[in-house]
Amino acid sequence: MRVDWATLARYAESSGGLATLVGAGIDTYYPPDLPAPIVLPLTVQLRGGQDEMVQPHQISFRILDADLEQVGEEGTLGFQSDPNPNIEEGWEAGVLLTVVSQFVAENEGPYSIEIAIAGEHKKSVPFRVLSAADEAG
Amino acid sequence: MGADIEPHLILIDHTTGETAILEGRPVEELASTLVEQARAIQTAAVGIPPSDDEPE
Repeated sequence: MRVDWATLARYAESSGGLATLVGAGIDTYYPPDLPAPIVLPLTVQLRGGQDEMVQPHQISFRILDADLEQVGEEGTLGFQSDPNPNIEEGWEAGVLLTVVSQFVAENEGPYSIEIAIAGEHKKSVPFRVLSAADEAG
Repeated sequence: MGADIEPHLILIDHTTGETAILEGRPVEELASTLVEQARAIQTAAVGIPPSDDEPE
């Protein structure tokens, strides 16, 4: 199973196999002060063969800072897709996951969300946190 | 098709590593809170650094 794409948005939710994204594609947060709580609505498109997708998987999310140090704790969840009887033969199955990660940014700089499946790294989603006060100054 | 149309999302609190799954009405209630939080913090789409991901 692979992560086809993953993107941040101002808000996201999943329903009926689809995702609703508001303000998709953001990569920079300007909190008024630091440290600041940052909310990261992340939508992940998983792809794989249907036989693979219906197996149980562990997907984990970590936040890394500019020094590639983990911020806070890793979040891990179990995942198992229902078989789709309508899929075309030879097509990959797909599942959209919406994950809202929350962490406290202590410093300005680049961060990333690291996505792993069964402990194997699959995708990095980079973003930045910059102080709005600095930007205004 | 019988698709499940209840909205759902997964919350991860990285200060504790705890995860929670929200479905239905709680998602709708959380939506307004998250959108308000997002509007309170300025955001932008500027660009991304070089990726180490393997080309597919």
